[in-house]
Amino acid sequence: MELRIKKIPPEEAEVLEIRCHKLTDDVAEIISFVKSRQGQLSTECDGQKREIPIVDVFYAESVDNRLFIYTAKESYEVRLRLYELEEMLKGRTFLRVQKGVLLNLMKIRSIRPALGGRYTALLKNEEEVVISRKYVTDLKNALKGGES
Amino acid sequence: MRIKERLGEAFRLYFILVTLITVLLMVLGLLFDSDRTFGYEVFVSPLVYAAVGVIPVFFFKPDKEISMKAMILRRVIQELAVEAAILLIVFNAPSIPSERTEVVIAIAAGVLVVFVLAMIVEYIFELTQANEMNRYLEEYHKRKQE
Repeated sequence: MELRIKKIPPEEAEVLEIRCHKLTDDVAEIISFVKSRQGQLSTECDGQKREIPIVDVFYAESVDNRLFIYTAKESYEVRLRLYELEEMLKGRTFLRVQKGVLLNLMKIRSIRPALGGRYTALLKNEEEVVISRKYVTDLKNALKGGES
Repeated sequence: MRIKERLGEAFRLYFILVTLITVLLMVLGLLFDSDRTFGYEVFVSPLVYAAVGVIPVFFFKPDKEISMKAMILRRVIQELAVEAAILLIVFNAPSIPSERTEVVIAIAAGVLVVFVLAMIVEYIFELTQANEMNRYLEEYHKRKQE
């Protein structure tokens, strides 16, 4: 695919146009990336496509090579890899807390011990997500004012 | 869980167990065999028993993080495994009067007490950490909402 970038004057609206023969997975991924940068994630639920605001996402979990995001009550599949989503959400309030889980720190109500150096994050929708021992230091640093 | 993390958990538990087993040996010794004297090699026994106690840490470790309830169940299984291992040592060690039922019961109960105390110590340590993180979390939420 040829890539063209054209600089425009400030008074013109910025447009990203994709010209393709077919909506392939690669194109869908590019669209998903652009939407995530605009604060939305392209998802699928029961075969229907939906745009979910990133601020509504509680956490994302990779299950059997499929990625799901969870809002307060629903779950949706995202056609991305976890590391891709992590990269997209860099600088936002998301942090890896397990090998396969990205957690929105703004959705944590409280943290409590879970034994073995692990902790449980109690979320605002009453769900619980375990924080692996390996990621506890990262979490502390993020909460103290580091990245995320 | 990677081997490095398992070793970290085992080391932490090991030192808690060494302390508690030393106390347990003193209590049981004073209760059942207070006149006996030992050589310096007796200092090795808490280290050996604690090493037996941490062996279960290397088992029952699924890759997926388990819930608190599942973790407690796993700890109960670990405790039973440690009890079995310690009793095996007790019945095979000539220096321990395993023919006396009260001694065997006291050792088994002592192992259980040590295991529960180790869990309580671990929980208190983690609770302190959790409280600290909750304070940071509150500040984080305030910063991000500004």
